Amino acid sequence: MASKHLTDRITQSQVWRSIFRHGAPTTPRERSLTVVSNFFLHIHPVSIPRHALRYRFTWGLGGIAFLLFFILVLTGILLTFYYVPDVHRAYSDMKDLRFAVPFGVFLRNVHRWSAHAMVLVVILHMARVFYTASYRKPREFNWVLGVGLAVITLLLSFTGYLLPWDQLAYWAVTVGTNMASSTPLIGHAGPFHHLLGVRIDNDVRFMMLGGTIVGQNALIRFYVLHCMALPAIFAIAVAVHFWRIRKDGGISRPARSESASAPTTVQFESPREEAEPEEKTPAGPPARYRLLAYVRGPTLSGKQDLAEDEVSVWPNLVFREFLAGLTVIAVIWILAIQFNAPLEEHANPAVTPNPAKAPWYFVGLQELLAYFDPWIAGVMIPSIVVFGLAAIPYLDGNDRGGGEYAFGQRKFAVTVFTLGIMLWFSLILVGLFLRGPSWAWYWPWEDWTIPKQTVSVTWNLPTLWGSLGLVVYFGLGLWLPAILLPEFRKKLGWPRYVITMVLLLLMIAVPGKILLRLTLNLKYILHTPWFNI
Amino acid sequence: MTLRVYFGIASLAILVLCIINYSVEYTPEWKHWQRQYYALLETKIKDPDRAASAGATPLEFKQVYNQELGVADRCTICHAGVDNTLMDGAPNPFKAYPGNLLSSHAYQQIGCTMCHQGQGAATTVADAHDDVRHWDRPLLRGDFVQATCTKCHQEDDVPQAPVLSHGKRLLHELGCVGCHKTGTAFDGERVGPRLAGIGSKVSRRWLNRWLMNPRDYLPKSKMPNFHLLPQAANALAAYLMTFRDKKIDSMPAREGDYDAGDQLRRESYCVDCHVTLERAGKLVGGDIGPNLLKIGNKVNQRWLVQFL
Repeated sequence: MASKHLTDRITQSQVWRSIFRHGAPTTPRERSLTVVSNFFLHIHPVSIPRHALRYRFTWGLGGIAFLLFFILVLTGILLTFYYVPDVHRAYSDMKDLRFAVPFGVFLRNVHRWSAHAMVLVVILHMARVFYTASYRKPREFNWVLGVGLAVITLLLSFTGYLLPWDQLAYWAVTVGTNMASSTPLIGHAGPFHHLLGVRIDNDVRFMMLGGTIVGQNALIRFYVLHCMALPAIFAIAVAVHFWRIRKDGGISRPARSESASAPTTVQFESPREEAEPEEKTPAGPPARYRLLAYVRGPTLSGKQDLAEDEVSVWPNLVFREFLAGLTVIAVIWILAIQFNAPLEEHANPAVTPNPAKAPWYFVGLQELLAYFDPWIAGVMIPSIVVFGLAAIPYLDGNDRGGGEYAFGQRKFAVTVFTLGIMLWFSLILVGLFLRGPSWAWYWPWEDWTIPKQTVSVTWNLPTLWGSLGLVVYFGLGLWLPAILLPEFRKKLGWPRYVITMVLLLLMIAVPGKILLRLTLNLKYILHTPWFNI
Repeated sequence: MTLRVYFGIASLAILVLCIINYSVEYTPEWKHWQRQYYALLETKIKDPDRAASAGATPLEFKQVYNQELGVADRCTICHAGVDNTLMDGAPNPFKAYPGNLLSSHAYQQIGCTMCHQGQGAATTVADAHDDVRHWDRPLLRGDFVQATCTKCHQEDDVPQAPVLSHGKRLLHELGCVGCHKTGTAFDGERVGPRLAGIGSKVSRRWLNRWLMNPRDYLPKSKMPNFHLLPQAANALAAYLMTFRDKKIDSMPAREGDYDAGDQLRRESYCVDCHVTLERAGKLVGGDIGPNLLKIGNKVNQRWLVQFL
């Protein structure tokens, strides 16, 4: 037929064949070639176990987070065509995007809602990985990388928030950076800042803002961080994150052997063989090992039949990923058409909105400020939370329930993590819906124009009793479980046990102190001239 | 649902969203108004060829960009006939700018919102005209439109802004600047008379009464009633009476001739400026100078001699 002849002439031409180096992926060879010889697709292996396709295992969250990052980079680049980080024109540029730029309002909306979605998806992805214990050996470091990626995501959100230069932006960053000034030692308002000669013009807040005020210096700094530095760091970290997944054997799953109760350290099907005993050739010629081998002939070698539970990545995985991508794009698109990204008045340092609330992912921290001093609520608690999260793989002494949702086999871990997540989201809900002007308590049906009493009479524990109380709390908290649950303590070993219990005690102390504050009006457990807890 | 079916639905959804997006983007509100404008313009041009070409003018995004301020005013995107005399008397938004203000106020340089306020950057009716949340310079309507004239026209009497001018005059006349700073040239202006030597001018009794309620003696006085307690007014009067003018105090007291004075009053036409008579319940005289009917209670004779 003429059309087939024409098709052949095109697809056999030099131009075509230099781009599409092999045929349509219908045969096992072509499918393998498609994956291996394509720069983007060779993130994947050539074949995967069937279980890795299970949607209800991963929910595709990691991939969705990455897609959202890609959407953000794309829309972000387009936005930088129209936005100049100058305090005199940033706000008008936002108005121009809304009214004058073709598809400007859509572009900005996609960017804003993708950012919120990405923060949510990253949190959900972390929860999923935790609940399937996919951080177990040898994947501990990848979990740490993931925590780092989550922090970078939040930093990207924070830096981007300033750019519209409206009241929301200005005051959110003011609150955030003022919390930084309460950092112990290096913040000019933090405990012990005298020791290092730290002042308002040389502390960590000054470093963040490039000045003592949220002004032009801060804007250009945040712009550069948001558009160049943080995305670059994120991209590199994500690349390592994917690399580690591949090297650690792809999507996690339970160990094949039935001896789940036998103490094995390796829970996963890892392609990494146990290291062979090193050959002792003291005087032999120098040698090296290769990961790949030179093969004469076509690109691939070593044909293997797929096992019973293996499928080829093309098209099975790739198609599912594409579907997930289409879904995400459609959802973000609908949100972008329906809801406009907020833009309040031009930033005005003389007028503080009351209340000036942070976006939802930070409003939990802001709510904590009602119960703790800034150096605790804004610096210590987030740092300890990030440290605690990163330490999870190293503190987990349980080796059951890995690679699947097996809550019954991991009661302690699942309970503690779920408790933590629920605490965090309760703080967010309170901060979002139950706080009004002057951060007073307003039920959703109450009128914000009616002022409420915000200052209450509080009292502090005397220093002696406070110190004693803390010693008893942590002392008993460490000693009692060791006595009552000795197998638990033994399994962990002393170092891990102590760290785990300290973190758990700190986590319980947060709602504990909130309760004491709400019921007894107790402000400080420990009250010293240098710092208060 | 099989994956292929889901793929079909998702793809279709994105296609539909794409179409929605494009149709929303290419049918903005302002095109409707501009299209109507050109249709109206076509009916107003006599020459058929020129009318046809006017009616077929391509719809364009218009704005006036004030370089110095970095402000873009997009009012003319709908108000396209603002400087077209053919559009005199047409309905809004097509009508030409009424009056002769546009010839002396080059909107192509200063834009529209400099005088009219409103969200000039907006291209929809609601965002430009209505009370837009978070836009703190709403469109000025009715008499308020004259408010911004004073940005450049600092004088008291601003042409074509009668309400503004009246307001400025009132501010001046009623002595508001005596207590309220207005951020204008009026600030620092002395509202009341100098009190140096007041003790040699007025009588103690009059001063007491004046301090208790100034407008009881002089209804159009600028000084408001401060609702002083009697002891306070007394104390104040006692203090003020110590402000003496030595020259007046050292003048000899001399008895004057009442009839000669009365005749002098008539011949000097004092009544042209001052109220000097009351005839059948009506006050007779001008209001350029103060009412003199009760002047005897107020001022000290020595002072009056010196004044005259």
